[in-house]
Amino acid sequence: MKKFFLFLFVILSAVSFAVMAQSDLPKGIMKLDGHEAPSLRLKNLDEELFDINAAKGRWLFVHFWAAWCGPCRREMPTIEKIIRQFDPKVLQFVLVNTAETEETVFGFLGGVAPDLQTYMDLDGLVTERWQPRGLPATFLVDPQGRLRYLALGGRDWSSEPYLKFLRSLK
Amino acid sequence: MGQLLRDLFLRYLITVICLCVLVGVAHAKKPKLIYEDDEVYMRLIMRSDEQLSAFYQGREFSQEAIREILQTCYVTPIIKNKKFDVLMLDLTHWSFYVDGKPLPRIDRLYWATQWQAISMKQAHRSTFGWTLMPEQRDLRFDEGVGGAVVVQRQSKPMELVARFVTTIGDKKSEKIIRFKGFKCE
Repeated sequence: MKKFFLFLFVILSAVSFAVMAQSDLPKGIMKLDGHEAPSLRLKNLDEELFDINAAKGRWLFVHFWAAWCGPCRREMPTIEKIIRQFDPKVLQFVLVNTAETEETVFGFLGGVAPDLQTYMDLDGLVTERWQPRGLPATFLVDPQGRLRYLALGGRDWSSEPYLKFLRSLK
Repeated sequence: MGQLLRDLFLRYLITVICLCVLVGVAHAKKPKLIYEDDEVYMRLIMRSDEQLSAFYQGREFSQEAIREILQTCYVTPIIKNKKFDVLMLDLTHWSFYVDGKPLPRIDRLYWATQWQAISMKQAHRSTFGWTLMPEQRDLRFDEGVGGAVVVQRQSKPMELVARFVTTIGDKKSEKIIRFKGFKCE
C-alpha cells in the first residue's frame, strides 16, 4: 500500500510539474514537440557563415524578420537591448532576414537597432523551410538541435517574464 | 470695404460649412470595418492602389508585377483570438459576395502561375507570399494574424462572411463574422 501511495505521489508530482512548467511560459511562447531543427546555413552582412550543424551544445534564439513588417520594427530594439546579457556559448542569437537586399537591411538596422547583426536569407527559401507562423517569429533550439519553443509574433524581450524565461534555458 | 470683408467672410464660412458637411457624409457612408467582442477582434483594411504600389515599389518589385497586383482587390484582415483555445482560420470557409452572388477568392496557386509567367525572382515571390494571409492557421489564445486576402477587382460594395471553427477544451463550435458594404479603393 505504501508503495502504491509513493508511486501515486511521484506520478502526481511529475504531472503537476509538467503542467506548471507549461503554464510558467510567458505569454505567446508555445512549446514545440522537439523535432529536429531544419538546416540553416547563411552568411551575415560581413560574409561570416553560420551553420546550425556547427552550433550544437548551446541554445539558439533563431529570429526571422523583415524590414517591411511593423511588429519587427518594434521588437528589434528589445533584442538589441538584451543580446549582450547572454553568453553566446550558452544562448546564441541568430537573426535571419527574410528575402530582402543588403541595402534594405543595412538601412533598416542602422536606424532601428544599429548594434545587431543579421544573417541574410536572400531568396527566402531557408525561412520557408522553417515554416514560421508569420513574421516576426522566434524559434528556440535546444543544445541538441531540437525545436523546443516558438514565440508567436513580436514582444518586448527585455521585459522581466521573457528575460527570466531566456535565462532559464540551460 | 466693410461690406466687401463681410461678403468674403460669409463666403468663407459657407465654404467651410459645405466642406464639413461633405466630409461628414463621406465618413457616415464608410462602413465600420471593425468587429470586436470578448472572443475575437477582427478588422478589415482596404489598401488603395497608391498604397499597394508604394509598398511593392519599395521592395523593388518590377512594374510588371505591380501591374498584376493592381488588377486585383486586396482585403487585409487582422484577426486576434481573445478567448478560445483555438480559433481555426481556414480561408476555404470564407465567402465574398457582390450583389448576393459569390465572388471568387484568388488563391496562392494563381499567383504562382503569374509569377512564373513573368519570371519573378525568388526573393520577391517569398516576400509576396509573406504578405498574404495564411490559407489555414490554428490561432492559439491571444495569437493574432494579418495578411492580404485577394479577390477579383470590381467597383461594387462587397460582403464577407468569415467562418471560424472554435475550440475550448473538447467543445467545438462555429463563429461567423460578417462585414458588409466595403469596396476596393
